[in-house]
This record gives sequence, structure tokens and C-alpha cells, in this order.
Amino acid sequence: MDMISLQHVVYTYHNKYQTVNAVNNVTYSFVPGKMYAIVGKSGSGKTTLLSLLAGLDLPTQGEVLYDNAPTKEMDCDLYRRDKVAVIYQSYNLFPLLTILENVMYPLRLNKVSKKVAAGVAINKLKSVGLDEQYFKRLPSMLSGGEQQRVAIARALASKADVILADEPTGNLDSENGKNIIGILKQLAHVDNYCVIVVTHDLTIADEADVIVRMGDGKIQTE
Amino acid sequence: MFIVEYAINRMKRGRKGCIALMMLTFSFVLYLCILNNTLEKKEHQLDDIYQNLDVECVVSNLRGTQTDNLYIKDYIVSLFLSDESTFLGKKDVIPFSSYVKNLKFKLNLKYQYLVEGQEVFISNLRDADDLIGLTHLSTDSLIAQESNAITYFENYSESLFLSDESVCIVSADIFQTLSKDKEGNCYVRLAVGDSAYSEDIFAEQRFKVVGTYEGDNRNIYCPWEIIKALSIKITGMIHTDSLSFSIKNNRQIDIFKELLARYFTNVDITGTLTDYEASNVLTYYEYAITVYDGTLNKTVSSIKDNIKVLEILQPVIIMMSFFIGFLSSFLFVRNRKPEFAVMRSLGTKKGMVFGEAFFEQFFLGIIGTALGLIVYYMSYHFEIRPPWDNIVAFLLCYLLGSGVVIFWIVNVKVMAILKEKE
Repeated sequence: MDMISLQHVVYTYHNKYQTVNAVNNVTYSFVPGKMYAIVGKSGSGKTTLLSLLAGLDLPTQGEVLYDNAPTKEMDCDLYRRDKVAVIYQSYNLFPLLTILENVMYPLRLNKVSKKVAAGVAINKLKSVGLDEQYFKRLPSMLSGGEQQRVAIARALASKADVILADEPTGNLDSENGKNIIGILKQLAHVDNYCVIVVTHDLTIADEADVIVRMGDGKIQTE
Repeated sequence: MFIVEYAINRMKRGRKGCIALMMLTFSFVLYLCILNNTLEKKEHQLDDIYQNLDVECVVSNLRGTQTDNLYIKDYIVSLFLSDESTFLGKKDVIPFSSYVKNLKFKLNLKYQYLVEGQEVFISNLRDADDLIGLTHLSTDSLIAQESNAITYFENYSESLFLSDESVCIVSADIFQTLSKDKEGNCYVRLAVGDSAYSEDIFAEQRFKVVGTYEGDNRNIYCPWEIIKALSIKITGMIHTDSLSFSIKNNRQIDIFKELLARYFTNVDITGTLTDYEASNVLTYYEYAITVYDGTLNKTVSSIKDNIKVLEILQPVIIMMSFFIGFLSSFLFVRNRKPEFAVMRSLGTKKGMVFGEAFFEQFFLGIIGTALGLIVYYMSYHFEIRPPWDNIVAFLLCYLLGSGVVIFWIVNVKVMAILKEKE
């Protein structure tokens, strides 16, 4: 069963000098229980593809389908809240919220009570290897690897079934990078998430179940 | 509400920025209050000066060399005593007399003592003694010098000259020669005439002597109202030998000067005659007037200049508050662009993102305003109430500026911001 799929998706943008087809007629499906790596050079359209999957933008042509329903017919905010979760290269945690508050955020957004949200957040943080000593710290007090774990815990705290990771190990050393990829693999294989990682690092890509190569806005090989 | 909780947590931990923003609104509000306070004090000062500084006006001859024995005619005197005034056939909406106060008149007539049964007659009117009716001792140079040496009987005082009682004061030496009744009261019966008007018309007047002045002068001084009545009896008109007054409402000086110009000309040392166009009877202005408003103008002009500057500053500050709100929000909020992008990427609605940022601006603005008012109260105890309308206008402009910039920032493309950061 396809979790999320692209049907003849085109994304075009215009700048002062030219019109660019960042994504050029892409058709592809992603299923749960697998980790995908989308690889390609800079400018190949992989990040744009990710943003379309994340509902941060709408395709110029074609459709992004979630559970066979077109995302453009959904409420974008609800889609981003409940269906997909994004992890970024620079973690993007809220700097003035504690670790616990960061992970509670998607739950509180869904009107979950503070007490219940805290309970869920604690579980998620523990599942990524962070214990009580971290909970009241601000992100600036954590290392890069720890911050990325918090970002993953936040992604897990939402109701999302799809995890999109944009260069999640880009700011980490190889040790931490490996740990993060390990967590993502576990989420795919054990917890049945559909994990899609965008990376230009082939060593990271080798860890994935499926490698999707992109070039000039198109999927070239799988 | 979750988003309010989010904002409060942020504000608790991001104190530096919050304090800076609060200080901004605090200082603006305090400045507005102090500015308003200063402005109102200046206006009170101006009011005090206008109310308490007397601007005297003195009628004189055309050269300005004589302010007594002018024989100022009825058409002038009636201006000051009548409840109505007309000019060139039109009735004035506000009568001339309502612009003046502290009128000082003085009129000299002639008198001769009469005994019981004697005909009311003065044998040699021109050389007869003076009966001087006045409102204030200061209008007569002789009695003004003696004012400290006047002895009043019973409970009389200088205020008798403002009354309409048939009383008078005479010199001490003359008083000795006058007869008294059983109660010790002294009365005089006089024949009164006007040497400038007619040699043949006289009036009779009986006075009670209620005071004496030092010396042997034969002048008798009585209230202005009595001599006015005598003048009407003798001549059918009211006139006065000297006239001075103060302006009632100094704020209307300029209007009043225009009215004065109808009847008086300016003092001209050359004594040049100026055409008097308002009358078919008179060819030239007969009298000049001097308005002693130099001190008032000097005192008032500097305060008015200050008020003008302050009045210009107030709306400038309010207009600036829009830009201050815009700029402060821009500086405070622009660093939060990536944070807003993350909030949006996590599924937070645009409205909630806007609401959170705006709530922070609003909250800090209100706290800053409250602090400004507290400090103002502690310093001035609200002697002059704060300019609530200006403060509200300031806050509205500040919030509008904040709203505009937050709306603009919140609407920027999420992915673009996130990639920009990376």
C-alpha cells in the first residue's frame, strides 16, 4: 500500500532571469516500513521534492497523494501536523523552549493536555536515548547529535506516519551521523514508518533500503 | 491557551529582548506624559498671566502729554458705562463695556457753599473752588499724595468713592470751620456748576463729611457717581476729565484694540490730527489712548513659543510611534523568521503564528506603557492627568506597525526561510 506518492509532479518557479523546472514530471510511490534515500547533486531538485512531500509547497502540475488522497485537497496545516514530520539538517528546535517543551509542541498543537503531552514526550525522548537530565535544558545546551535526537523525538510525538529528513546528518560528525541513521532505520523497520531521507552523502544512502537518484528534476535511477 | 503559554515561556527566557522592547514603549509613554504635563503647565502659566497681569489703558491728548483735564465727552464716556454699543449704525454683538474693568474716572466741577435758604448760585464760577468726583484717589495727583494722611470717620474708607452715597472728604483746616449737628455729624450744602459748559446752570447737592485730608486746600472730594449725576443735571451729559481702565480679558486684547481704534488714535508726539471717519460730526480723532501691553506681550510671547514647539512635538511622536512599532517589531521579530518557519512546518496555522508574535508585542507594549504611567504617577502624582488619547493613539500606532511587520514576515515562504538558514 502506498503511503505517499507523486503522480506526474512538476514544480516550476520563475526568477528574474529564467524559468526553472525544479521537479520535472516525477512519478514515484513510497511505502511504509522502508527507508528511502533520495540522492543527487546540488540543484537536482531533491530538496524541492521533499518540500512537496512535506506539504510546504504545492506542485505546479500533477499531484502528491497521501494514502491515495491528493494533498492539495487537504488542509495543509493539518497535513503537516498529523501526516508528515520533517527533520532538518540544522535541527530547527525552538531555542527558548526546553527539550521537553520542544517535543511536547506537536501534541499541544493537537490540543493534548499538558500532563498527557509531557508523558508522551518523555517516552519519545527516552526512545531516542535521552533521559531526564536533558528534559529541562535548552537546545543550546545540547550537542548536535543530541539536538537531532530531540528533533526526531518531536517528529515521533506527532501523529505522522511519514518522516522526511533533509540532510539529517549534514551538521554531525560521522559517529553521530551513524547513530541518527540507525534510529531512522529502526523507525522504518521496527515501527513501520515511511522514512524518506534526502542526502548527497552516498555512505548514508547505502544504509537505505531504496536509493532514488535525482538529476535535473527527474528520478534517474532507483 | 497553548500559544499564550508558548509566548510566556519565550518571554521568560528571552528577557533581554523583552526588556529592550518594554523600555522602548515605557520611554515613549513617559515622554508623552511629561510632554503633556509640560504643555499643560505652560498653558496654566499662560492663563495665570492673562488673568492676573493687568493691562492698563490710559486716555490722553493727541500728543500723550496730558491725561487729566481732558473734558472727555459723552460719546466716549457712555461707551464704558452703557450695556450696548453701536458703531456706524450697527449694534455690537459684544458691547464695548464688556471688554473693560477697573474704570477710573475723575471730573472737576465748581462749587460754592450755600447756607439755609440761599439760592443755588455761584457768583464767580471760573474762580470757584473745585468739587472733584472720582472713583479712585490715584486719579487726582493732589489727593493721591495725601492718601496716607486721610482720616476717615465712622467706618468709611477709600471705597466710598466707588459708592453712590452723598458723602465727601474735605481738608482738615476747612473741616474745623464747618458746623456740626447734635450727633457730631457735619453736612455741607453746595451749589455746583460746570465752568466749561455754562455760567448759568447750577445744581444743588448736600454732602455728609466723612473724612479729612491734611492741609488747607479747598477741594472737596466726592464719589464719581454723585458728580456724574450732577453733571447730567447741569449739562444733560456725562463727561470726565480723566479716564483709565484695565482690559478684562487679556486674551481678547487684539480684538479690543480694533474696537479702540474706532474712537481713539495712537499717541503722536507731533500732535498731528488724524481723520476720524466714523463720525459725520467730528473731523478728527479727539483723544489718544495708550495700551500698556508691553510687559504682557513680552512675558507671553516666550511661553507661547514654547507651547508651539511642544504642540508640534506631540503629533510628531504619535506619527513616529507607527514607525517605532514597525521598526521595533521588525528588529525583534525578524530573527524569529526561522522559528516561524518551523512552527508552520510543524502544522501551526498562520493565524496562530501571527497571534503568538502579536501577543508578545502587545503584552510587552502594555507592560511598558503601564510602567511608564507608574513612573509618571510616582514623579508627578497625576497632578495633570496623563494624555490618555495620545497614549492610546501611540499604542494603536505601535500595534499597527507591529501587526504589519509580523503579517509580512509570517507570510514569507517557509521552505525558503529554512533553506536560507542552512
